[in-house]
Amino acid sequence: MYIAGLDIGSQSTCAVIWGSGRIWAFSVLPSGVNPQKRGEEALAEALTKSGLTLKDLDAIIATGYGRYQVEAHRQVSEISCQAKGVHFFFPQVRTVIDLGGQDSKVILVDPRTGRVLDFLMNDKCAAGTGRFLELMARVLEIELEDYGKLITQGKEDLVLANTCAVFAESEVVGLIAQGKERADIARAVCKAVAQRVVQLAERMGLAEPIAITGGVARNRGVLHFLEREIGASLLVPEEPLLTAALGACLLEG
Amino acid sequence: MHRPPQWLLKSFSFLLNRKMPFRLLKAYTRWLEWRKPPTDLAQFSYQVTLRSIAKLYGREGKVVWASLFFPSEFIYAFRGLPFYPEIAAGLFAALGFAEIPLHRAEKAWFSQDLCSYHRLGLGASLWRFFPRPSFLLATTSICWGTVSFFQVLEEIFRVPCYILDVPEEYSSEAIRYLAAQLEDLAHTLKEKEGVTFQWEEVFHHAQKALSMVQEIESLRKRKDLLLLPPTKNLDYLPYYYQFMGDEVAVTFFEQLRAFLLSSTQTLPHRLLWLHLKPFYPSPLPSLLEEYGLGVVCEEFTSLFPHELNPLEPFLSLGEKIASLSFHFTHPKARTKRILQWFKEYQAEGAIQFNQWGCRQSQGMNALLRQSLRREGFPILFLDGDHLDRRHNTQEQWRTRLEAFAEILRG
Repeated sequence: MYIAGLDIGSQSTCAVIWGSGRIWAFSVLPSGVNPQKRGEEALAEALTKSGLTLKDLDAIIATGYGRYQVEAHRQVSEISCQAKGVHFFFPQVRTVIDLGGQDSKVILVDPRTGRVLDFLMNDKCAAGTGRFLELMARVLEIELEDYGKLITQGKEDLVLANTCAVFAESEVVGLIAQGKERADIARAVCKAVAQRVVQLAERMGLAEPIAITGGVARNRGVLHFLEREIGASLLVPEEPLLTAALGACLLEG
Repeated sequence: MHRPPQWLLKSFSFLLNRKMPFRLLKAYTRWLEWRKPPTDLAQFSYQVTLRSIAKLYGREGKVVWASLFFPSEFIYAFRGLPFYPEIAAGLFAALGFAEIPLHRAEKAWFSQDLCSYHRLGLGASLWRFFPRPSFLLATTSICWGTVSFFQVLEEIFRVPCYILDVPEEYSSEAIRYLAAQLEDLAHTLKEKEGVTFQWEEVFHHAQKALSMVQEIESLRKRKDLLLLPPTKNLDYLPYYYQFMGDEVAVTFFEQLRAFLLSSTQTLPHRLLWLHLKPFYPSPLPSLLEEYGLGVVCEEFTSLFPHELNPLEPFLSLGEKIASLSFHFTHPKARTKRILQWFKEYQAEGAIQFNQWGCRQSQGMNALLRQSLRREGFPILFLDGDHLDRRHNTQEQWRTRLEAFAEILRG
């Protein structure tokens, strides 16, 4: 029995092919402006990698914000899928922090089953999401992956208002105008994101062990400050973008 | 929605402040009642709304504005016409006109952070869209924002405003304290407004309506009967507040009971709905239905059974105010009541739609969540605004509701 899980997020689209208790293949593509088309492309790529065809699939389960825009046998929220997917990699995990492109979530997981016990999502503000990091990277004229390198070079402890992405952007512009070092500003950006996420996580009540997923999980800068703020190390799946799509498969299988 | 030009809004306001259009409306409602006697809840509510508009704007008596927890029975007792601006604000939003008064209030320096029930009420008052009050009656509960709201209204309309001080506790002393204030108020109104109070008929209607509400609650506790469409009962809020003491509430609740008895459709999950809901047209009810999330009990339509004794009217109404206030605003009392509903209604979870800027309800979210989780009941907090659609992200509701339904399914 082969199942495809499709996670159509605001930034990335991921397809996972699951069967006989293992991942056969997966693909990750940027979501772009046409989630339906990108979902089909991601699925086609994963199928090619696995050597299967669409006819071999017993079910397609869609998740992510674009889950209702693709043809699938069933749609499941990304919250349940993340919990299940992370449970596969780390069965002991009790909290999942999912930092996606446009929202952040804190999910309490039952370690016996991988089911969701409770969850909390960020409010309307983009601070604390991948979009925030992208916006600030654009202002700083750096690549997303540069954050991790830059935070080790920073010396001055700058503080960034972390309540509004728009205000924060103008604050960053102000800091550049003041001649502050790029590395110090990048450090402040990562710290602001981490603090925002920790505020959310602490409202929910963090239970260890904690795992982190989503695109931001690859950002070593944010990860560093998150671990410092929480006071615990975080488990990061090898492929933090595929957990929701995998969870979709597992919920069906 | 494009904001209409100023001249159009001014003309609308001018017409609303003339009696003639509403005499014509009254004639139309009489014709409508004769031609099309209401056979369902929608038609009945439509006709009641038209009749109320005709009475209030046609100034068929003293128009008395009251805050939500001020008992309408008091106003009906002196044949006043109760008008609840917080309820009217909901109606404005439901009709899709909220943006106009909200914008007017913001232009007058009322922050977007202010509760939209009050902001909309202020904007509509500045536009003179609401029927001009003879005087204002308010209580210091449900929140202190209400007091400030009524104090600003007093300045806008230059009419007397009487505010009852509601104690934080629910005790015989608190009831007597409220009764004394009500009695003083009645004396003042007799002197200053020349009104007289007749309690028997009003209390008779209110008592009858209340016993009907209890019957309805009993029906909604049954698992084999239809819940109303999710959150629909909150559209009937005027009958629970503004029309208590009027015969119209009795007739409405009779019809509602008949409707509940005649239908057998159910939804897989039984939920409690805390606080209010978005009143403007939104996909929320259909999303709830799609995910099988039925609402069997709403916090704001759950009234307390209390005896209304015409021989002791002030004590009776004092008790009503004290019990309502205490159970809505005291965290422990509110939580205890909610936990009791879980058992009575065999509910599986609760949803609270947080109102933007509402300190009163959100201040106790952490305590509420903690208590419910301890008993094994999940609660979902949705963030947004009940009237101001600019503060909502409807797509985010879907993910949250879907995940909540998945938790309930287990």
